[in-house]
Amino acid sequence: MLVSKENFNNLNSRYPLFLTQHFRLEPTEGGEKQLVIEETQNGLNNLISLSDDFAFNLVKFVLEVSRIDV
Amino acid sequence: MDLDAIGQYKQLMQRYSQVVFRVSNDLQFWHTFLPAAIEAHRQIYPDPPFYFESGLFVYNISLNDDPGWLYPLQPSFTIDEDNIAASRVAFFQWIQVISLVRVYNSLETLVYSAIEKKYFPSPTGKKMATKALKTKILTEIKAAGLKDEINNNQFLLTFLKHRSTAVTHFLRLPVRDLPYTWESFFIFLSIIRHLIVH
Repeated sequence: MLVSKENFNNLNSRYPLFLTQHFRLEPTEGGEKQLVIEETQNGLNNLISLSDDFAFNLVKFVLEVSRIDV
Repeated sequence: MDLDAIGQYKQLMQRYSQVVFRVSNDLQFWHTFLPAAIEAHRQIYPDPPFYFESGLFVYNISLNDDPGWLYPLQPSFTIDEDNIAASRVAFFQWIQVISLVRVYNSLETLVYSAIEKKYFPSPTGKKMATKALKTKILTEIKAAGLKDEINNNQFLLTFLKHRSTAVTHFLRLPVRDLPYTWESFFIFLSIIRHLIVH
């Protein structure tokens, strides 16, 4: 995805580890910068795994389900 | 143990999982299978002139209502032995980016649905329109004097923290061994989704 310098700096200053663990910055043919999901570090799988953890636990806390029997 | 809450929990998670688990499996399978399939194809056809070729044409409609003629907009697109590896990588790059939007949308729907189930349950069980639910959430946030930040769906977490000390506790927990909280993970993912879509 194309990303402006401002957006990249904003993300990089707030979440540098999230960013570098899952994405890399590379130039496009037009000379712009784009964020690419990091394949070698399994960027997307890791993000999905974190999303699963977030989903599983957030809903548990919202609904106040103390024990999950699945 | 609240059996009704567990039933609601399972229902919500099932909807989320149906999308996200599928996305994950599709990507993992095709990411592994495709290079092997390309190699197997090479064994059968060791020297193909090209794998794929296409052109981009549009009807060039004239100003005097002439229905127009097909007009080539770009040079043709070809995948051959020289660029098939790069083409495969580029294909997965955009598929992965779009997949991330699907995952985030499922997560967003899940959060909305959990809020509705817990705080705005319908006596008939009928699902509320997201726009109506959003209005209810924002109205309550404003009434409580809290910041109604709609960018990156931060208002959803603001509402949950306002309503629940348990959720507040969870959102402040660290994400595995990283120096970030679960709240910051959700916001990070929201920003990434925003960058992709816009």
